Amino acid sequence: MADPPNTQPQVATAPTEASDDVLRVEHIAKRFGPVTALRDVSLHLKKGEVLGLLGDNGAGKSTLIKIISGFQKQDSGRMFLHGQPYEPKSVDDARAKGIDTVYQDLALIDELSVYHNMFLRRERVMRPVPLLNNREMKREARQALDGIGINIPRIDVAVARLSGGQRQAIAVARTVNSDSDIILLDEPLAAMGVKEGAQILDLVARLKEEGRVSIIMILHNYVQVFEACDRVNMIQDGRITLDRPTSETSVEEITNIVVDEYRRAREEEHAEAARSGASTSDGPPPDGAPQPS
Amino acid sequence: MASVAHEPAAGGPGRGPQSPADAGGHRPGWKAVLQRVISLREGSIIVVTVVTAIYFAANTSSFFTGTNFKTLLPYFAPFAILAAGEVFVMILGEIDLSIGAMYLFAPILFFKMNTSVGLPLVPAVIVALLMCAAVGAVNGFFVAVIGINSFVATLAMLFTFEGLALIVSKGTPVATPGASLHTTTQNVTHIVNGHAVTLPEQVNHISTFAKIFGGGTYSELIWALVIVGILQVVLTFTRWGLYTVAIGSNKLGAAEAGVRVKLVMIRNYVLCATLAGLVGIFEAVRAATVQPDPAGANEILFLAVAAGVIGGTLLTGGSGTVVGALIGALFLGILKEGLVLQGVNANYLLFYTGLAIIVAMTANVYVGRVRRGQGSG
Amino acid sequence: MSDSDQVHEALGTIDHPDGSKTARPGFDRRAFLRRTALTGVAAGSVGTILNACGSSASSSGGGSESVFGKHKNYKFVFVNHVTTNPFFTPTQYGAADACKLYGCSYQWTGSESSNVNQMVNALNSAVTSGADGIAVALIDLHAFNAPVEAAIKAGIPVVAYNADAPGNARLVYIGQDLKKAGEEMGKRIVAAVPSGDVALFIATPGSANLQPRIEGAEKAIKASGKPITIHTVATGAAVPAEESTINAYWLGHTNTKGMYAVDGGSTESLAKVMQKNGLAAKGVKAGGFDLTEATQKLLSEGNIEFTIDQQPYLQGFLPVQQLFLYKVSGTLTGLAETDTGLKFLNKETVAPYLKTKTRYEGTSSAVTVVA
Repeated sequence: MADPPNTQPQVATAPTEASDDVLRVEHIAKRFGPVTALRDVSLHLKKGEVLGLLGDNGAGKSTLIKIISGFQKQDSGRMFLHGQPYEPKSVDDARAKGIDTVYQDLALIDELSVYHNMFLRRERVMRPVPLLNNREMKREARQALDGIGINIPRIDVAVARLSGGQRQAIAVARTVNSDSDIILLDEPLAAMGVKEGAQILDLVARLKEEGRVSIIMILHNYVQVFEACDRVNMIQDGRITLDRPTSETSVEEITNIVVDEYRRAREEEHAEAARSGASTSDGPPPDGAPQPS
Repeated sequence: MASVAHEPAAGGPGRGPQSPADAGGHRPGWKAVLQRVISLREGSIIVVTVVTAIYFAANTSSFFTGTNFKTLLPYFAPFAILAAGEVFVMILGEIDLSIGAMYLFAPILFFKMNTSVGLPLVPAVIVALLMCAAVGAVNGFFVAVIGINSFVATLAMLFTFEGLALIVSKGTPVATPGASLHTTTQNVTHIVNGHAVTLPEQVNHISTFAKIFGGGTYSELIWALVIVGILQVVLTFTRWGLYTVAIGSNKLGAAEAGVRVKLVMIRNYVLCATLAGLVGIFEAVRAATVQPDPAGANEILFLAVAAGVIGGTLLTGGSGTVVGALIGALFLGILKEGLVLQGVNANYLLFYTGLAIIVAMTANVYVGRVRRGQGSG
Repeated sequence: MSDSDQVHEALGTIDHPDGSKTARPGFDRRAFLRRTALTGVAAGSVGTILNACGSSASSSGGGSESVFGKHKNYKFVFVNHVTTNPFFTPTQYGAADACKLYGCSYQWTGSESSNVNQMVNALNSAVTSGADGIAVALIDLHAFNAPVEAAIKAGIPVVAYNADAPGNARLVYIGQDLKKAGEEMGKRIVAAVPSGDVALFIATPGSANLQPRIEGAEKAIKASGKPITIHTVATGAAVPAEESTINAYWLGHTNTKGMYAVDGGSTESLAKVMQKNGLAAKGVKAGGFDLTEATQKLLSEGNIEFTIDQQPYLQGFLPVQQLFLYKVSGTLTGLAETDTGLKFLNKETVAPYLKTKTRYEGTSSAVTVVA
């Protein structure tokens, strides 16, 4: 099923790989039993850059994030971190190498307090008896949240008591606070009101200004992509079909790509139904060419 | 999963006894004190237990006496230790039914190590407990690594080791090593009606070993208080406790955060099984007999789990308290002992116990709602 | 407690927190037993007492007036190992009837599941609650030694019923002589099965209320010198499981010549298995202990050859009677070692049990005179 690399669909723009890439992903493929999640994905991330990852549900965005963060392992393909081969053995390993993730399913622990969540796996403990130094964690957590402008009135309440926006902000703050230089955000704005979403986008913008971290962010809302990201990659059917700086494209262009893709797929379906014969799995290469309006 | 509104999401109980009190203590009075007690997770069961104790004290003249305090101890102290271990598994959202088998098997193994292998008493205890720890590790392995449902996995281990206990013991009760009484005669002087009277008396002695390991009057109580104290600190103030709550609350999230879920789960199962074995040895020493009796062990198992749940630990995981388990065990102990003292017959005892637990748990839930400041829901 | 010396009496009530025991010079328990146990209380005499005092029985609170004069409403506690087991239903009726007769009350408590720790707890609670006397089934050889001593030291008379433990400080034992019962069964086995494989079923091996029977049976069989191979099989405490265990045993050992059980549950289950497989007709011999309704019926149909009655009613009646007399007589009389019997019932002699439903067998709660 997996296409050989030479039938790789055309990428809309020339690759913009550069020597200041902090992360490069080359020809990653991943299957789950009969389901092909990623066919052949390559992307790169520059220092201080915010890369938006777009694509429909099931296109493979989350799988890609999980591979980069060390939660899953790719079937084939390679990754490079700061030019060195990068093969994370676990989430802990990836984190130790500076890549941290805020998951779509929010790795927050409902029953734990805000500051315990922020310091999960990096707890401050006392010496010599390793009891939790809650006071120190509270202080640092407050400092960190204030530092990136997140307003949480009480940090000793269980996060279950907080709103979705507050929870997401804490998850992001936790990652930022963990001295990672690459942060992966899996749908940070999911299940969030406009105002709360704006809080998170402000947070991302501040991080971009600081320039210390690079961010890959999965988003659904195209408007938000253009607001927050330097560059956008689109994944369709397990492949990257578009790679362009946000300054060189527009919401309309991306919308068209998606709509075209949808129409083409439907036509193909109809055509196949009409032929009702043996179907060849090798359809025409997807017409990824954008139609600027 | 996350509420969109800015209001605090409902139903998220605070963690541990230091959870925020909904009421500010502006004027310290009995009301404020009561509110503070209720604001604890263990608050409702404390209230229910105190009410139960007051009831028996008012209705049974012999209840509130020093002698009865000693009689009451074995009604709850062993269960408090068992429940403390079980709480660590229940917070994970799992259950350990094999504690019944450990309770049964550890003293038999202790007996064999002492009599057949010839180990001294304390090393024999240690070997028996190591065996329990190993069984706990296997439990944890099946649940955390293989992924067998914990109810089924530990039920299988319960049967396996109860069976093994019967096989090893050949189903025959034996005298617990180091627990037998020996009697000496000494002259003791008493003052009776103003006269000093010296008479030879038979004095029963139990060994220091037996005094420490369950035979002494306060032995089990002291063990229970120490173990509960330590484990409550572990649960509330260490990474181990933090990870335990994290796994029970959001296993995937904990794993994504880098918590070594399997390791923590196995560790908790080891703790639970080891404590169960320890209690088994205590009870064997206290009764001076090692009984290969699965039915009795299974009853103990249910009471221990009940003590944990009544104390405020959720069977669904993510929330729990060791001190609550102690109080839950105390509640069950007071209830049973009080009813026996009142002269309730066996057939009615179960009936009343069941009713009392339902009433207590209803009160528990109601008080819990008051604690969270919710009128209903 | 037989001494009347004031000093000793005062000492008897001193509470020794260190667990020490006062040796009362004036009181030699064994001698006391020799004195009082010269003759067992015959079952027949109980009936006489019943008729004589039936009308004056009253258990209303405060005190009671009877032929013995005015006395307080004594409270006796029965500590049992299987409190909810139907075997002990007639025992409870016996205790209730005796209480009604003598104007006292009893409490039925202990463990539901042979848990000796729970039994010890219940015994200690009985002491704390100030019981006037305790009857305990000594199913364990060690567990009750210290608690019984403590109770007696606290001035509470303790008798054993149903099961006894040698070396225990209990004042008397009221129940079947278990080892002798086992030996008698062994003799029957030898007579019925001259050679071959014989299975002995026991619910909980090692418990002091059952193990002596199986040991007695083995002793008698070995003493006979007959080429009989004994297989001891544990059946567990739950009746449904017992039946499947015995059934499975039979299916796996069809050359077994005789199957015998030493406890009530196993006997009933054994009789059911015999019936199900038609084993009596195939010449397999069987027998056991106790008289559940099912056992009675299956015995009358000839599925097993005998069952041994130990009169559970008396095991409730006599402890109350003895403890009561002990109390009203100021410890001078009342206690006597009593064998409640070893009565072999066969197909014919079980008939009256089947015909009547009585309190004495626990088959009815009605108070009626069996004509």
